[in-house]
Amino acid sequence: MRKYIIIFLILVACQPEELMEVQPLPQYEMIFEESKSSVTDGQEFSFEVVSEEEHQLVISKDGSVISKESFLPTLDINTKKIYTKSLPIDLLQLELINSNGVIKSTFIQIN
Amino acid sequence: MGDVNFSHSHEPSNLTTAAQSMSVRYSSTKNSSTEQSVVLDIVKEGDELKLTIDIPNNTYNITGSQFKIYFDNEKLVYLDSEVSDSSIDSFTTSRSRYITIGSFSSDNSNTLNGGITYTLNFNITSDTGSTLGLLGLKFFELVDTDGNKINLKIK
Repeated sequence: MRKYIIIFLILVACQPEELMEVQPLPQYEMIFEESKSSVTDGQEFSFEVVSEEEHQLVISKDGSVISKESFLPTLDINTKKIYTKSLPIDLLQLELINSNGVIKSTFIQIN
Repeated sequence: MGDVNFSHSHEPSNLTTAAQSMSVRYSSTKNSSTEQSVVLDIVKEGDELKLTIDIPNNTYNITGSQFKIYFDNEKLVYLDSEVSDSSIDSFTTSRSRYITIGSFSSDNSNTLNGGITYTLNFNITSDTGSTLGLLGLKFFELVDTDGNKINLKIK
């Protein structure tokens, strides 16, 4: 009887493990949810858009525009990159703008 | 190097003859009292990136303008520039990381009251996905016939 129990335990121990595949959730840097972020060259950031009309991302300092990008967004979360080599090393304002005006705003520290 | 010095008696050594002969009488600063502003636009067209700076019709009697635009030279190659108004002398100087573009009237015979548009064209050399920050307007200066600096915002 003891022999059968040992064989049973060996058989159970040799069964392939059932691995549960866990899909990793995409990680988004929702930049406008922070009041201030430090950014580096080529860094990705994300934001939510609720209309498909043309939007602009605008970088400014003291109310004067330094750089901008116009784009047609997709509904829901959009991801963009920011390049910093042509920007002043400073605390700048980043705004998301559509035809209604500024809809999201935050500060970015260029390093 | 390559900038027009609107506010000091020193004459830049690397500008054109016309630029070197520009009289220097600029002194004080004048704040604009209206909401008028200079418009910066950056548009991607295929594999080119086009930057435009538009000074609209105004009454500021601007006789000197200068804009310094930095670009990411690892992702962009400067192609050429365009100026919408040829009645006033204009200049463009290209350096490895920035372009200086502007206009001046050495004898105050011409102003930018009628407005002017400067265009810089770049070729995108690598797949960037986004273009935000590839171009940056870090410095600009506008002066009028009396030597006053005009403090317009860039929009």
